[in-house]
This record gives sequence, structure tokens and C-alpha cells, in this order.
Amino acid sequence: MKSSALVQILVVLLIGTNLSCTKKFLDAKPSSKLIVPNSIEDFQSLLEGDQIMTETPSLGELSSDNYFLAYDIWQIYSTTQRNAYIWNKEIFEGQPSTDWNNLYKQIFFCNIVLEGLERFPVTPENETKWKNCKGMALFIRAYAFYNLAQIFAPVFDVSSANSDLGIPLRLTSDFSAKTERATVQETYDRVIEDLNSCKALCDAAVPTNNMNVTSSPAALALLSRVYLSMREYNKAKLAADTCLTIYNRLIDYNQVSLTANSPFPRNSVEVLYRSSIRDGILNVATGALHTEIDSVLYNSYDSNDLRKSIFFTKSPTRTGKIIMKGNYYSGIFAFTGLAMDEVYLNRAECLARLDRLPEALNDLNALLIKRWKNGTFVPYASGTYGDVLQLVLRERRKELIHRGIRWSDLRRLNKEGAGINLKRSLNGQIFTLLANDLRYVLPIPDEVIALTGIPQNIR
Amino acid sequence: MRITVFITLICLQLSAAGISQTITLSEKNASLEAVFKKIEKQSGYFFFYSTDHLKDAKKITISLISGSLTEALNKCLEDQPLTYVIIEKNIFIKRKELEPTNAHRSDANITGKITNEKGEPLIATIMVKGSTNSTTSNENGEFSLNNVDADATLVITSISFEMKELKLNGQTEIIVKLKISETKMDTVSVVYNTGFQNIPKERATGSFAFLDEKLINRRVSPNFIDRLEGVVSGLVFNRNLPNTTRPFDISIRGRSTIFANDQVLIIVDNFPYDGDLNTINPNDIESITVLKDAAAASIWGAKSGNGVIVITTKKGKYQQPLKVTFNSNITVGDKPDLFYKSTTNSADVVDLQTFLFNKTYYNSTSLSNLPPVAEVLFKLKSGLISQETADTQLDSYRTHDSRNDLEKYFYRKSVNQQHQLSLNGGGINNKYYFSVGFDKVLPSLVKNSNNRITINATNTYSLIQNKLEVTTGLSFSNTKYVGNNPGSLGTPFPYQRIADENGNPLVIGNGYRIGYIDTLGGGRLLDWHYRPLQELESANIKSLSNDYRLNFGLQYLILKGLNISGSYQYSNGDYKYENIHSQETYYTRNLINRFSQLNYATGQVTRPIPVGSIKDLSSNTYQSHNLRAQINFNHDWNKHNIATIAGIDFKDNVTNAQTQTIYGLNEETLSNATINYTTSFPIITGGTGQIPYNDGESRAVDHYISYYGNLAYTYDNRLVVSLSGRKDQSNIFGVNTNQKGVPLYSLGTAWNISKEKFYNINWLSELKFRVTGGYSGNVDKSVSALTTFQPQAGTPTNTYGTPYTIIVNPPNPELRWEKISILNVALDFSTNLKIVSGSIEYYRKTGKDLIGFSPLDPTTGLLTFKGNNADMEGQGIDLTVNTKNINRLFKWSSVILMSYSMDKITNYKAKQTTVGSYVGSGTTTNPIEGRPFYSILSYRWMGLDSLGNPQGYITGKATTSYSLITSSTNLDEIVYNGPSRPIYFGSLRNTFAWKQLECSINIIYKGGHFFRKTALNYYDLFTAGISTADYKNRWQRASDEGRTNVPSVIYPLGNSVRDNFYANAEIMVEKADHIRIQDIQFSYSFDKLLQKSKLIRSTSLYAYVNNVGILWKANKDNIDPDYVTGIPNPKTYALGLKLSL
Repeated sequence: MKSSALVQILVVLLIGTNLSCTKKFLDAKPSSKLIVPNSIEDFQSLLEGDQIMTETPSLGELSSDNYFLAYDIWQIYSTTQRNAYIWNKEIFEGQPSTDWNNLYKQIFFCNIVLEGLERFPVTPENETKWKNCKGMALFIRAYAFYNLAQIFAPVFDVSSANSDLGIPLRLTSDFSAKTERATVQETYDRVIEDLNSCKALCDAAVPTNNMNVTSSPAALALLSRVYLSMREYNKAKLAADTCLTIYNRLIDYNQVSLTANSPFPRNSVEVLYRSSIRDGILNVATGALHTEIDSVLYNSYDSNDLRKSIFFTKSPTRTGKIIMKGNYYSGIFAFTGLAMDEVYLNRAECLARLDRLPEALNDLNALLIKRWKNGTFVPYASGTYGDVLQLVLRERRKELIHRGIRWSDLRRLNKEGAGINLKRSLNGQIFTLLANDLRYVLPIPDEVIALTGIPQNIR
Repeated sequence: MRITVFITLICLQLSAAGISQTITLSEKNASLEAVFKKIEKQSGYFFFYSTDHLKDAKKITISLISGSLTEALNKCLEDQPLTYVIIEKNIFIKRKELEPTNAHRSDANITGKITNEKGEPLIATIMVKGSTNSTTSNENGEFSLNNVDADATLVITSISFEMKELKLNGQTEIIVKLKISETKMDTVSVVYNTGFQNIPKERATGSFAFLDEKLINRRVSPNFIDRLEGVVSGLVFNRNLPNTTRPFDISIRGRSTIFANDQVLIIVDNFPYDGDLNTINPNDIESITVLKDAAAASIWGAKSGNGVIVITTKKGKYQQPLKVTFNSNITVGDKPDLFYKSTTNSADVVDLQTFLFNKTYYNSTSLSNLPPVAEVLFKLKSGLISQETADTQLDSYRTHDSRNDLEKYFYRKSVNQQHQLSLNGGGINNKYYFSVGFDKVLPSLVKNSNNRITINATNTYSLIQNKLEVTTGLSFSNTKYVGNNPGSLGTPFPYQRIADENGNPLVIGNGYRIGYIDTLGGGRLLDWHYRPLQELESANIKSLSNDYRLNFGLQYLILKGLNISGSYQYSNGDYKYENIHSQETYYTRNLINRFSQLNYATGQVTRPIPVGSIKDLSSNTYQSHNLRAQINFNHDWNKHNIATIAGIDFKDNVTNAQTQTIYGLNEETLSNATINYTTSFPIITGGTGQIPYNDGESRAVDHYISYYGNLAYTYDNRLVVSLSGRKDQSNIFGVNTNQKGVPLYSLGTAWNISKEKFYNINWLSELKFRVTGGYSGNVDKSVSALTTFQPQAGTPTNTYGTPYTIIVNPPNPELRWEKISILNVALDFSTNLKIVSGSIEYYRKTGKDLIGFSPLDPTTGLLTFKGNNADMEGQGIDLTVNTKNINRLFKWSSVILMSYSMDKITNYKAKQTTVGSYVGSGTTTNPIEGRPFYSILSYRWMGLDSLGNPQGYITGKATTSYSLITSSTNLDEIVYNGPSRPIYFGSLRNTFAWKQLECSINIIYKGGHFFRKTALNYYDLFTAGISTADYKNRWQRASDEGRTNVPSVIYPLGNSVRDNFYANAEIMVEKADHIRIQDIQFSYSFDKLLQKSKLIRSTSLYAYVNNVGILWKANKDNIDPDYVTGIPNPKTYALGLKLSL
């Protein structure tokens, strides 16, 4: 019966392999280059990819009034860029939209992280990491949703927000989930809820080196930007207040080189969170040579205003033209992140609108004293309601140039009745965008409409 | 290695033997011992005797022609005091026992008769098991044995019959019928090896191709893959590949995947081979079985979708005396024909560059390299040289073709040597094979070489009364490849010389203008000149590879027909590539100079890359464990046979890859420099840059667990039913997917109609019908069911130096193996005496769940999705016919292989936005539904316009708006020319034999496919001075458009879109059909001459000519369709000798 014993051994061997060791054997990682995420660090590494995760859309800035293009230069750019510049009814003409695609890619990455973190029980050892990672994912997702809403959804209007169509709010990584447009109200509710969670999860300390990492002041700064775009001035002021009590540092421009092409370090003290527009027209390397700054705007800077030299320079290739140079990004792209100057200006505007004029001027003076040549700035003392508001808005325009904020501002200011009409001229042809025009909402990319059947924006 | 030699030495048991079945003897007064040796040699049987016994023997005189073994023995031992017993292949000589030495208890006298199955008498040996008592039956088959225990067992043996054991159980009169031994019925019996079991051809249901040793060795080449060309039906070698890193590319029965692995699975000695196939010495191969359909291949499961090639290496034979075989050959090859490619001739290039010069195309202040023609003209213009000097110079350019230099200095006749020595043999309980091979290849590229040493040793021991068989094996291969000669000159203009009259290297421009680099460093930089001929001397590029395989196998016979086996293989290989760019190489001097910083005031040079050699290293290693446990059961009863196997396979394969660059290397002290890779240094010619950093390491782990089984039932050798299944699990897809995995399986049946009673077609003696269906699988390792991240290639850290990752695989819980369903219907036939025999097979393949791209709503965060969402199908016919045309003293036989194979994409979701993404050469592809995977599509051609501009077609009109044509989205505006891979292919191999001389010629054909010619490209012509000879036929004056299709020269050129349109127009596509004589082989056997030699067993001399030439081709442009981009393989001539002792 020796033989049957051998058969038994073999049978045991065959069946025995179905047990746990098999599972282990088959769980081996197939490649050292692939990471099957199984730690908080792995998820954090996904959020650290600044090239992907910190990009903000370009279409709004391309459509704004900070710059002009000469006709010959306009011609070399892509269909989408050319159309956005002249506020054409058609924007994409069948081409994909990098803004849409890249922002939803960030949202997808964040959803992967958020879903992955749910699988990790929070322990006292990992609690801080876990919270910061989750907070960062929520922040990036909220920022992307907000940025998309500035371009593809109408301005928030409390009277119609529940019926106006917002953007698709994808909250899962499952790509079989249906794409549907939320209302504008739902869109902003989601952004605010996520930022409030983020605020509670993230550290209060502003990072000093890695400016991709989110902090609660960054969440508050973004929250104040979001509320401002909704024209919720009380809430915007409150967010700015809280932010300023935690962190309030500004750069003294007297310490900044007036001649350097890239005058700011990428982790300057004023910056809370670093993001950028990666569009060829708007970047500082090639784009700056092509885009020219509105001369009226340039001339509005006082000669003692250091920003005039730090922000701008004369075009080396086209005589008489003023172009942009380095900014808080410290690189070739335009900075669109969150910085303290914006928080000061947000609060100043809210206070002015709430008729708390001395406080508004206080905030404005606190900023401007750091922007003018030492000893030349005379603080604003008082003014009427209208004057102060106009003053704050003027300084806002001068401070936050090329920061990806202007398009949002144009939308909400016109909604407030500012009546800003935009005009562009190319080869003798005049293009205009009147206040509150339907074209302030850009079309959803054609392929998205084709693949999902969601309703298109009417332009 | 020392162990191997040792093992082998132990095994060498000296004795002598032979092979034939009948005995011819003619001896006068010979010693019995000498006669026995002759019999051994002729019969393959062995004598066992004590020399004492032979002392008493008389000398004998014997004459026997084609007698049987027993006849011979009976005659020899007539009148001798000796008798014999044959047990299996052993002949025991012993003294005649005159009287029984000891009486047995209850002994009986047995009488009986031995017959074959038809009842005809047989001469056989009848032996009492466990005793020396034995006898032989007479011519009537009758025998008697005395003093046999009533319970004894008789063992009856006879040549060509199966041994039979019979327990007496008290019987005293017996009649025994012996069965003809299957393996002896047909000496060329074919047994397919699937890598799991051996299946006799008669019992196979699936589609197999079999190559025996003779066919494998017909061709002379260093690697075995070459030897499959033109001898396996349905197997085609793919040429004109865009990617030349792969040493070969073959398809069996067309393509059945889109993005997954498309290469055949190669099995060596029962396990998938993980090493480099070039390390296998073809002389060590005993047979090759190609598995083509589901029934044949599905046992290999998830890797079998592209077919399987099973290599069986040589083993020894039991009871065969030592056989020493020496095989040696030398192959000499012509230089490749560098003038094969049509090229704009030098005079035309000089004229064109003069024209461009006059158009001020060249800039006198240029820093980059200018053609020498322009330099001459600039000198002339500035008055540095006279008109006469300039003309002489230009005329010398006009008449020179740099390919002459290349051929003279860079190429030679190739010489390959191949030598192999093998020893094999075996005793009763042991068999062995040992070989040493040495290959030395001196390819046609001067300074390159390739040496390979292979060692193989296998030993098999039969233990515990032949119940346990233990096999050990070791293979080792060491290859050294030197690749100093790139086979090209960098970027010279076609009229430039690389050497002066005395063969001294000349400088040619490379990137920078010579005048610029000469002055840039004020003499403080390293010599910055590029001399192609010197590069050849300075290069030091080599790769080394070692490959080991260790095998251990056990097979234990539990009961008759039932055995279990276990086998284990460990293999390990490493491949090292080393390129030492010495200080003399242009590469090193250029890199050092580019990074050099020169202080023009002090003249001080700072070198971030220090002077010294730069060494690039890369290595790849693999380690693999394979473990298998299997139960085999084979049982015959009455007319039934069941053969079944079941088992489990584990595989663990780990590969490591490493790359490194060492700067500032001192080759003597081996010291090297510390390099600052992070700083961006100024580049002396402008801009900034970081020092190239290539160091890196990666690892990949493949784990598989597979369960498999195969069952075949045969009834009366008439009807066969087979069933096989396999389930694979791996770490590639994640455990969840494995659990969901559907087993891959197949069903098959074969019906031997000619064995039916009703069958009455006399001239067609064999007719067998086979049909199989089932699934094989395929793997795409680039996808995973799990979400996977990967560090971003190139920039693994973000702006702040923090590592980051990107998502490479979105979660895809639905991921599964690619599944290829194959239906195979076949008919095997043979006329009487096999004058015509062969098979015809029809197959249909359907690839389901193939990995492909489909577009996704970008709102999901992904633009495309790679998953199981594509389908394709294919069908074809394989016909094999063997004929014996003349079979007399002069023999002529033919093998005809004809295959048809066509594939089609049936479902592919991702569409390209513009037609420009679809046109091309059909070598890389964007799949289109309804077309073959490799399709050639073209822009429609509307002729030249009145200015010689090529015209395309858009919205119903001829146009020269090339951007509109290429960016059109309307697929109807382009033309489908056809597939780029052959649909019809095959070969005709004729073999002629006369006496000892044999000659065979293999003719290969391919057809039904197309290729794209290289078009005249003005951009290349303007910038590099090189394009096609069509320049001569270009449009030059009005109305030329009626004469030619070659566009005119335009100035300025603008962008390359005009060239691109012309290159991809339909007129550049040609039919690729062609017929070529692949090779001719001659062999001459000296066996007859050497028959009397005691030393030499057999000798043959062979000669072989490969790449003989094209017989016919459809295109009129003198283009070999297998070499559209490269140069045809030159003719080679081989001469070899094979000697057996």
C-alpha cells in the first residue's frame, strides 16, 4: 500500500496549495515600478504630483482683460486659445478641453485617495498623517470643483442657484458611474462642505517648504474666495478673519529685486498654497513675449509703487510693449494659488461692502505699505462708501493681476452691476463681451456632451 | 561544470553495439567473441558473458545473409558447449546445462506454443522469471521447459513484439499470443511532446507540427529559431519590423491579440523558457513540436494564445554503448549589398546643394555642420579659393559614394564556426547525454564577434526494479558578444570620404560646424573632431551572458500504467552590457567639451565631467523556479485505451534590471569621479543642461499557479476523444480576478475512417478526420485589476523634492485573461506506400476580451480605458503534402506546405481623430474595425499638378492643402491597400537522393500582402543629402506630370507635410508577393565506405547555401519585399562534417 500513500501525498499537495500560502504567493507585487497602494504614504505620494494636482484652468484667464494679443501672434495659437480670446460662441470645435480633462483627472486622483483612506483604520500613530492626507485630497477636489464652476457653470445667484445647472460632481473613482450635472447650489455646497472638512483636518501651520501641502489657513483662504464669488460677503469676511488670526504675513516688496526676471522664491512667506495655469499664452517664458499688458492698467501704478517694476518689464522684442515677468510661482507659469495679499483684499472688499470703511481701509493700508517704496506710501484715512469700495476693487485689480482670479471677479462684479464690457480688436475686427453675457459661461467640451448626453450651456 | 564532467565520466560504460535488425555474417575461423561483436553492432543487442565460458568455445565459420538474430545465434552456438537467453535487448551466454543441478519442489514440465496475434508461429525466448531456466521456441513456435515451479511466471520475448509475462498457476500447456510492438511497427513513428506528455501521432486530435532531428539539422545556423523557417506549416517569420530589438518575430496562424504579447510560448524540456533563446545550441535538440490549435495548446493555458513551440533536448538511450558524435561546420557569408537601397547619387546631391547655396539656404555664420559643398562654395565666394580649385573639389565629390568606404572599412565576409562534441549512451539502469558546443561568429561587420560555449549534461537512472526513474540535467551557456561596429557612419553626406588614400581616418562634420568647434575653446578644449574610422578603433562595446538551467525529475511507477512524476527546474541567467566610451571616442570628448566652462580671461577650463572614460553599464538577470507534480495514467483493456494526466505547476520568475553610468573612469586604476547630477551647468555651445544620469534599478516578479489536466480515450485505434483544461492564477491580475477565472479548456475528437470495416477506398490507405475546439489565453502584463501607482518616469520628485506617483492603472475589477477560441477541422490522408500523404486543416480563431483601448468620458478623470474591450477573428488553412515522386535507386520526394491566414479586427472602440493616424507602412497600427490588424492605408493619389506638386483628395476634389488632407476625419477619403503581413505563404522542399548523396532545396513563398516603398523625401535630401534615387525622375518642367509621379523640388521647402503626404500616398504601395529559394543542402554519407571500420560508426559531409535568392517578385522596383527598410541577408555558404564513433 506504499503506492496509495504516495497518491495521498500528491492529493494533499494538490489540494493543500489552495490554502493561505497560495494567496500570499499570488499577492506578490509584479513590478518594483508599480505601487499597489497600501499605506497612507502611497496615497500622499499621489497628491504630491504638483504637475498634475496643482494646475488650474486657463480658459477664464484667457478670456479676461489682463492682456492683449497682436493679430499675427493670435494666429499661431490653437483653436481653443484663439476662440477663448475672442469669446467665440464655439470654443472647442470638436477638440478636447485640457481644462476639463486635467481638472477631472485631479478629482479622480483625489477620489482614489479618499476611497483608499477609508480602508485605513485611524490609529493614534497614523492619525495626523491620515487627517492631513484626507484634508489635502478634499482641498484639491474642492479647488477643482470650484475652478470648473467658474468656467462651465453660471455665476452663483441665490435666486436661481437651485435650478441653474452646475458641473458634474464626481465623488467616486468608479468610471461606470453616470455623469450628471449638479445644480449650482449643489456644486457650491459640495465645495464649502469639503473645505470645512479640510479646515478641520489639516494642520494650522502654513508649510515653509512644500507649498503643495494644504493647511487650514489655505482652506480658509479658499473658502473666502469661494464665498466672495457667491457674493456672500459676511461669510467671505468671516473666513478671511479666521485665516488672518492664524496667519497674516506679507512680503515687504522693498526687499524684492526690481530687476530679476523671477523676483520671488517659490516658497515665499505670503503664499499659502501654490498652483498655476499651464497655458502657453499665459506663461512667463514664451507667453510673456507675446502677451501685452493694457497700458491704462500699467499706467495706473504709481511710480513709487514697487509692483510696477517687480511685476512688469518692457518687451525685449516689441518696442513700447509692456509684458509680465516673474510672480509667486517662481517658474515659467502664472501663479494662481492662494496668498495672503488676496485674503487681505477679500476682507477689505467685504468690509467695504458691509460699510465698515475704516476697517476696510486698514486692511488695504496694511497691504499697500508693503508694496510701496519705503516712506512713500500715505495710508488712506477715510472716504465715502462708493469711493472706498472702488479703491479696494482698483487695488485688487492691480495686486491680483494674472492670478486666475479676474474672470471670477468680472462675473460677480457684473452681477453686482459693475457693467464692465470687454473689447478686443484683431486685424481691424472688434470683438466685445458685454456684462452678464451668456458667453461668461463656457461650453462643455463636445466629446463630453457626446459621451454622456448632459445638457450643454446656452451661449 | 566539474560536477557534470564527473557525472558523465561515471556513466561512460564502454561496450560496442549497432542498430540494424537483420544480421549478415560471413566469417571464417573467427573467434566467437569477434562474431558476437559483429552481431552487437548490427542488432543493437548486447552480449553478457563470462570470459571463462568462451575459453572452451571453438572458432567458427559462418555465412548468413539477412538472417534473424536467433538464426545467427543458433548458428554460432551450434556445436558449442554454450547456449543463450535473450531478455529484452540483452543476450546472456551461458553453459549448456547437461543435467539439472538441483531439483525443484512440485516441478512440472511445460509445453506450449508462441504465435503472433494471427496465430502464426513465432520464435521467441521463454524464460522462467527469477531463474536461469529458459528456452527458445522452434520454427513452429513450440517449446518445452522442464523443472518449472507450478506457480512460476514465464517471461516471453521476441524481436518486434511486446514482452509478455504469464503466470502459470499450475498450467502445463500454454498458448501465448504476442502483440506487435507499437513502436517497432513504423520506424519513423512520430510522437508529439506537449511539454506535459507524449502523444503518439495516431492518438492526436489536435493540430501539431513535428520536426525531427534531421529536419532541425538540415539548416546550418547558430540558433534554432532560424531552423523553423519554411518547414512548419502555418508558421511565418515576420520581416520589416519597426522594432529591431527583438531577435526574431514569428507568428503561428496569424495574429490573435492587439496589445498583449504576440509571441509564441517556447518550452524547453517541459518548462517555459525564460532565458535568451540564442543560448540554446540547436545541435542539442532532439525534436521540436509546434502546438497550433486549442486541443494542442490549451494545456498551456493563459500563455498559449500565440501557439507553443516545445523543444526536447537530447537524452541518452538505455543499453546503448557509448556513442561519440562530433559535428563541425564553417559558414562563410558574402558582404551585405550596401547598394541595394536606391539612393540619390552623389552628383545629384552636389548639384542640389549648389542650387540651395545659390538660394542662400546655407548661412555662412551657421554654427551647425554644413555640407562640404557649401563650405567649398563659401570659400569660393569669399575668394579663399579659385574657381578651378572649387570645381576640382566639387567634381571629386560628384564621383564619390561613401558606401564604398563603408563597404571597404566597415564590412567583411562573415565567417561562422560551429563545433559540437557529444557523448551519449546508457546501461541497463542508466542513460546519459553530454555535449560541449562552441560557436564563433565573425559577422560581416568588422570588429564585431560573437562567441558561445554551451554545455549540456543529462543523466537518467532507473531504480527500484525500473519503478523509479530519476533524471538530472544541467545546461550552461556563455555568450560573449562584441559590437564595436555600428554599421553606419553617423551623419555624413553621401559623397564624403572617411579615409584618405592611405586609409587614414578623415574628419567629417557631426552636429557642429568644424570651423566653430575648432575656434570655440581657443585650443583649450579636447579635440572635438569626429572621425568615423577612428571610432571603429576606439569603441569598446561588449555584452556577456550566462545562462544556467538545472533540472531534477522523478517518476515513480505505482501500478502498471499509473505513475506520478515530479519535476523541478531552476534557471538563472544574467546579461551584462558594457560600453566603455574611452577618452578617444567622440562620445566622451563631445560630452566633456559641451560641459566644459572656459574662463576666456585666464584660459582656465573647468570640467564638470572630468577627463576619463565614460562607462555605460546595464545588466538584466533572471531567476526562475518551476515546480510540477503530475499523475499519469495510461491503461489498455480490450480495444480501449485511456491516457490521462493531471497536475499542478508553480512558477516563480524574478527579473532584475540595472543601469549605471560611470564618469571619469580611469581604466587602469578603475577609479572614477564623483559627479554633480543636480546642478544645471552652462553648455559651452549655449543653454544649460544637467549631466546625463542613467542609474536605476527595477525588478519584476511573475508568480503563477496552474492546474491542468488532459484526458484521451481511444477506442480500437479508430476513435479518439480528448479533453483538456487548465486554470491559471497569477500575481499579475490580483487574487480576486484569479478566483473569477474561467478555466481554459478544449475538446477534440479524431476518427480513423480508414480503419472502419466499411472503408473500401483501396488507393487511400489512411484517412483520418479530426476536429477540435476550445480556448487558449493570453496575458497583457501592462494592466492590472488593482489600482496601481508608479513614480513618474524621468521626474520622480516634484518641485520640492518630494517623491510623487501617478496612477498607471485605474482599478479594473473586471479584468480577465484574453481568450482565444479556436476551431480546428482536419483531414489526414495517405495513399498506399505513403506515395502521397499529408493533412489539410481549417481553423477559425476568435479573440474575445482582448485588451484594447476604449474612449472614456473625460469627466471620469481618464481619457481612455485599457481593458478587455476588443475582439478580433481570424481564419485560415494549413495544407501539408508529402510525396514520394521517385523511389528507386534515385529518390525524389517533396514536401509542400501551403498556408492561408487572415485576421480581422471585429470590435475596437478607440477611434483616431484624423486620417493621418491611420496611414503608414502597416508596421505599427491603430486598429480599425473590419480590417486586418496590420493594414496599409494610404492617402488617395490624384497625380501631380501643373507645378509638380502632389495632389490629394478631399471632399471630392483634388487638392494640395496637405494639412487639410492629413487632418481630415473622414476615413472614406483614404484608401485601404491591404494587409502588410502575408496571407498566403508556404514552401516547397524537394529532396533528391542517389546512393549516399542527398540534396534538398527549399523554396519559400509569401503573398497577398503589400508594402510601402521608401519615398523621395525632400526634407531629408535638403538637410542630410540622402534620399532615394527617384530624385532623377522628379518633375522638372511643365507637362512632366504626365511622365512621372515624383514631386518637383520646391524652394523654400516649408514643413515636411508635403513629403509626408507623398510618402503615404497610395502610389507608394506595392504588392509584396514573392518566391525565393531559401536554401540548398547537400549531404554525403560515408557509412557504406566505412562499414568495415571498427572505429567509425557513421560519417557524413554536408554543404549548405542559405539566402540563395529571389526567383520571382510582383514588384518591378528591385525591392525584396522582406527587406523594404533594411538590406537583404547576404548569401552564406556552409561546409560541415558529422562524425560518429
